[in-house]
Amino acid sequence: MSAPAEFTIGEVASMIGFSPHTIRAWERRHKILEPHRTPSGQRRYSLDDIELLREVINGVVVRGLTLKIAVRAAHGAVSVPLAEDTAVRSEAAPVEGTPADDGVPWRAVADFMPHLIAVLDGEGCIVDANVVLASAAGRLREQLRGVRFVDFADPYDRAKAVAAFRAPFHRRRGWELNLRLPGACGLFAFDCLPIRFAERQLLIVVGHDVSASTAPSDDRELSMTERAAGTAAG
Amino acid sequence: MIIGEVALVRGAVAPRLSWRGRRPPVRQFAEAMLGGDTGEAGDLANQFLARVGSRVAVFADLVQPAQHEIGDLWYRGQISIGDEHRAARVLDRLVGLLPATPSRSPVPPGTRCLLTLMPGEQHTVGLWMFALALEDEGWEVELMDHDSEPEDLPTLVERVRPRLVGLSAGYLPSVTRMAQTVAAIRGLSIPVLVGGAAFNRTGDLWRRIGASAHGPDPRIGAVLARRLARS
Repeated sequence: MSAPAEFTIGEVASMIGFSPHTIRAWERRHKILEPHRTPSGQRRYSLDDIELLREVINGVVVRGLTLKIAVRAAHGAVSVPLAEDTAVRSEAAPVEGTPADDGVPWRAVADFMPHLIAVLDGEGCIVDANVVLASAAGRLREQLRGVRFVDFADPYDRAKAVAAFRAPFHRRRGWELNLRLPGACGLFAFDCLPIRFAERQLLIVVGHDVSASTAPSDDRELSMTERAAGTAAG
Repeated sequence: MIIGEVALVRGAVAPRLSWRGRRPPVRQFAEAMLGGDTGEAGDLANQFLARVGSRVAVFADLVQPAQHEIGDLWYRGQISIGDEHRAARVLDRLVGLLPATPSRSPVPPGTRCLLTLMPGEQHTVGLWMFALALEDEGWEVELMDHDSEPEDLPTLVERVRPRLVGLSAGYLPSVTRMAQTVAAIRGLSIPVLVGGAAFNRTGDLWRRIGASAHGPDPRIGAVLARRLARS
């Protein structure tokens, strides 16, 4: 009862809504994929092949790309932006007395932790972050201020993240989000804690990497902190 | 038919949208949904259905891409959460109004499946579309109350003995809890097919929770369900 590993061209045609003839033509003309063959020469497709076909079809049907471009985009040979570009910056400078002030004890604590930690304002923009997040983003801590936190999310997750990281905030535990950062790519579970500070509503988010393991070892956590401390002085 | 009535009223005051192209009218459909116009969205869905002759193709090629488009607009700040909810309401009404298109090679009579959501899950339309897709394939579908606790599911599965259990999740509040539920069901030698946005956005999540397969859309889900029921 394990996962079906291979599919016939007829099954694939039923899955994607195109005829076997079309799939064969795409393979021949556009080198869209190269399915595994049985000893008798019949095509067998994997789930990854089907996912690739779906991506191509989505590119053509929904995004209006030509088949050629859609194939190249699905293979990662060209990048076609989905939405307006990221890293929208706001004027979210830290106000006096917020946790972003240099030298406050919270930073020493936050920087000691192995997790991604950020303080967000009511618009979901970063007011302050710990050194692990700065390192993962490949920026200095000061450069993160005003950046929307959702811009670090995988495009597919952004709609979900926009609502969660905008006031009114809610307390959450283990809320999952896929991040795309230069130094941290994968699934993170976030604990979110709303606070009021100097008459502002803020959200503290603490992200735990759950991509590789649900319980990262102490060694892994320590090395992440040490690596961050060594590269992102802020 | 409500769609027909609404369309009739609309037809008296404004020209109806029509579509004769080769590609699914995803953008037009999304616009009709955002405008709260069930009649217009219904017209487009019915025109597309008339061309493709399959309800599940409407779900996979028109409805799901339109939902994705609306999610993207929301992210870009071009629509509000109110717009998104209005679109969801249109879709809720529309999905059940599309006529059934039974498969020419249905599964054997009495092939039963149990479909459910994780507790507190608000995204129900995807599972509903999957249920209708399976019904078109000849399955006997039992949709469970979405307030059921996952811990109760294995007991029910043991009693009903379906050929397949389908689990849908938009968000995953607890991977561990879902993994435990899946393991308990698969312990009864019944395959578990998962779907929903939570699995679509994280490619390997279905493997991590120990599911038998992942259906990223109702059409692929229906083919996988048939395969799993055979194995």
